[in-house]
Amino acid sequence: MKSSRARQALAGYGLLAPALIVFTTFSFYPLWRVIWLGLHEQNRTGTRQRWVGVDQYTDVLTGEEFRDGLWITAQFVLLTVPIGVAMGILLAVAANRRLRGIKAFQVIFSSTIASSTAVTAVVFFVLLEPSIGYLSNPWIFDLLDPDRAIFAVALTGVWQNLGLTFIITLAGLQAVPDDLLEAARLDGFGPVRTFVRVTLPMITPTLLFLSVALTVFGLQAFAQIDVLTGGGPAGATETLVYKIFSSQEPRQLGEGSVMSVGLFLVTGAVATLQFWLLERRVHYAN
Amino acid sequence: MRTDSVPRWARNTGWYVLLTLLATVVLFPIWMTIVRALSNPITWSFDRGQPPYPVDIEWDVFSRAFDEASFGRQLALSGAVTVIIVVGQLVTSVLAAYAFAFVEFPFKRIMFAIAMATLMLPIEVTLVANSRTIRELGWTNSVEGLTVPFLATALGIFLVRQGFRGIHPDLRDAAALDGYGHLRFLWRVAIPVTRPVIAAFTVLSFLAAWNSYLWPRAITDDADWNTIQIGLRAVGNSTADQLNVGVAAALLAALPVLLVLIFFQRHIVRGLTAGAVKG
Amino acid sequence: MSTISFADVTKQFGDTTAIEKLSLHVADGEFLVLLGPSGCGKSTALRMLAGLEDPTEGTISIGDRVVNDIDARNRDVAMVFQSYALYPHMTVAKNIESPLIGHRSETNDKQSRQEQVEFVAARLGLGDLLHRKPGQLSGGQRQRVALARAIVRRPAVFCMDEPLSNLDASLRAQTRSELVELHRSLGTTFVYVTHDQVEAMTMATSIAVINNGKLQQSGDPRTIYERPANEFVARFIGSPPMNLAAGTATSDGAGSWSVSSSGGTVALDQRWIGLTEGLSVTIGVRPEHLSIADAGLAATVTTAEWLGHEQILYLSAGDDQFAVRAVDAGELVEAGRSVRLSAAPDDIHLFDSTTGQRLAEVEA
Repeated sequence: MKSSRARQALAGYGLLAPALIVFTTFSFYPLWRVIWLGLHEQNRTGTRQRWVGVDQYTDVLTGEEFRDGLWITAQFVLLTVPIGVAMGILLAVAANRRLRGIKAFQVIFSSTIASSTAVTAVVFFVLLEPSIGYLSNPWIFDLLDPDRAIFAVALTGVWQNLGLTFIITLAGLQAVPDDLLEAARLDGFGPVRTFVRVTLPMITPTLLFLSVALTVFGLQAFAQIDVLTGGGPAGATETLVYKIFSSQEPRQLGEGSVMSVGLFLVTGAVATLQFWLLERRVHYAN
Repeated sequence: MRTDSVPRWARNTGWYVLLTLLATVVLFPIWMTIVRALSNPITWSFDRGQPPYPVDIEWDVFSRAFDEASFGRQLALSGAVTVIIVVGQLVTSVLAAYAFAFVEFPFKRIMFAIAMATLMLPIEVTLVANSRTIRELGWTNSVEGLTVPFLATALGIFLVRQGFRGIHPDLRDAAALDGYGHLRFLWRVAIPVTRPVIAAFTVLSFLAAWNSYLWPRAITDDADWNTIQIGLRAVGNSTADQLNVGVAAALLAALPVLLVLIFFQRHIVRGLTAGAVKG
Repeated sequence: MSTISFADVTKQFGDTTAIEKLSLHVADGEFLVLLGPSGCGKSTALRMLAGLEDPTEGTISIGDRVVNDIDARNRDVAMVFQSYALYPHMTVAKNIESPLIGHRSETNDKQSRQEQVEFVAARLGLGDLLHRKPGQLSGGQRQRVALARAIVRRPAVFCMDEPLSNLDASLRAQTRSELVELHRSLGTTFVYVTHDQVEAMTMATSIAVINNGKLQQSGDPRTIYERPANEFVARFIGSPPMNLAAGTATSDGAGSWSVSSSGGTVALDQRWIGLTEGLSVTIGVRPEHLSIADAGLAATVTTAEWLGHEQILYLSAGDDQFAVRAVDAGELVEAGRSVRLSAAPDDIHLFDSTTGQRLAEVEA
């Protein structure tokens, strides 16, 4: 497998080429393009564009539309992530023990990952739809109430993520070495204290990974809104991605592009912040 | 040996109660979906007052999904798109991962960082520009439009490279002495040895491709080009008497994923937890 | 012809020098052991020979062919790795066959490949295991498969990198004699890397001791043991290692020399040349050459280990520590006893303390 440097270099780039072509065309070029489109305004048919510069960025990013979308997205994230992680811990702790038939419960708890976002939306449509759904009084999950529709949308997110959070948290729990738990027991720790003082710190990296993943899912929420509410009622569930999706007409293209850049920045900032915040509280194994 | 005051049978019963409760919470939405799909919609809602169990069961609702909701066409399209994306991602990921793991070339670290940077550029961010590109290429309502942007993924490159890096260096040296070139080493050693990782990635890739929603929604505007997931949108507009057909379609749409989940459970767990658990 | 020669071979990894100006000639059919502590560069030397690393400087030849620019696959070299490097997904038969596939030729059709695999497998007692996978084999069986894979090609040079280190002690002893037998029957040049002096002494026809990337001494096992070229070799070979003590050379003016150290004075015989008055020397005696006597160096036994067929005594005398191998089993020596130690002048080794090199002697 030894060959000249030049041949190696050629082989290396040859192997990378297919992936690089896709990445360049559909990841990097479009990033540059949304930035560029954000600096321009289109006419009604999209045949002509006019340079408007950074003004469009300041206008859109400080505008009500973007703030709304960001706030609704944030609500979705704040509702789905903490509850999702908590539910994951609850399910995983309950199912992480030697009991007859535990495997069946583990399969049930994992099962929601078979449900795509669109399927999940249909599942909850069946439950929550005001006129033909199962629940005639959907409590706070009211798709018709602008103040409460977000709860219904978030509920679908929490339920759909259950399988994923359960699988990941259970794997985290099972990776905690038994001798550590036995040592805690010999130290006289009860089950609760063992969990708080030993297990939880040991699975913090797992929970960190999970919360970042769930946050990213939350920031990208779209399908359940498209199916369940269409952004309504009265725009109450128009997340950032929903707004981006609906601003592809030439006249709104500049605005949509700026919001795309905004989403990019928000995603990056959230990921960085979350890692930074949790880094110091993380207790890594070994 | 424990001296707790609570006896073992009581503790176990307690856990079973909790587990059953949680299982009910998880399964109830699915159960009600099955109830709605199977029940005659009129009997269920008007005659029987929406009971939590199926009434006047109509098994032909699934075949009606094919006939009335063009589920068959959507299934074929989703299947084709998914197969193309999964195979494409496997090929590009394995090739790139091989280069990163086993070939020395200039700017390797930078190229790897560039590839990984695409994780920061999900389709949600690039949607506006990409759908324009697709329109300019004339790929609206086409298989190319649905697949080409997803033929490579940083996640696949990362996972497969991790797998390749796990191959003992002696194995590479042995292959070199055995007279294996790059191609033979890749095919006869690297891929077979990394099979678990590749399988895990394949499952993840399948899930993402099959469930994808935003992109096909953005670049198709013809109902003939609806994938299964997009087809489910119609449920939101259905009236009470035809809701069961759309709901049945949703159950059918989840079926392939459920089968994959059952048959490849090990790989799913490994794929999902890759990177999540320090091991 | 499969002589091997390293000529001024240097290998650098970034700033670190793994091998420095190695020059070594190996005759055809030799069983050469590259011996040294871990990290000394011996494996690097072997890997350069096999074509898995490129030398930074110098030339490596196999037969009369310089192989620096020849691919590993074309060097006619086979190797047994420490990890065995068996392909986990292939059966034993496929593993053994794999070098034949990589070096396919016209005479090498499926039929003949299969015959060669079966022949080699039978020879190494793997006949019944051909359809198993490496994961289902014991360590010893895996090691045999690795050997079989190396032999099947009938290479000109047979490289082994610590092939026994993953075996348990009894299996290791057995495999050592099998390797010697294999070497005898194949007649091929073997190059074998180990840090274990027992392996080196029992199998090698020639040993090259390497430390810190430099060749310390090469020669047949007897020479290495009996006339170590420097303090490192003296200490590295032999267990317990050679006793070394610092001293000063003194002359009685009539041509007789002795060495005085903190524990006393030792008389030398006439074979040492180049001694000068007051020269700082290191005096060395192997544990089996020290004996408890009526007169000599006063020492106190600190620990005594009884091994059944012999007793190893550790003693202190002044600032120096000594080990003595006492085979006379008439009476066991106990810790705490004061004894006197002596050695025959024949059995004394002398090294220049500044350079560590053995002092010159007249030819016997």
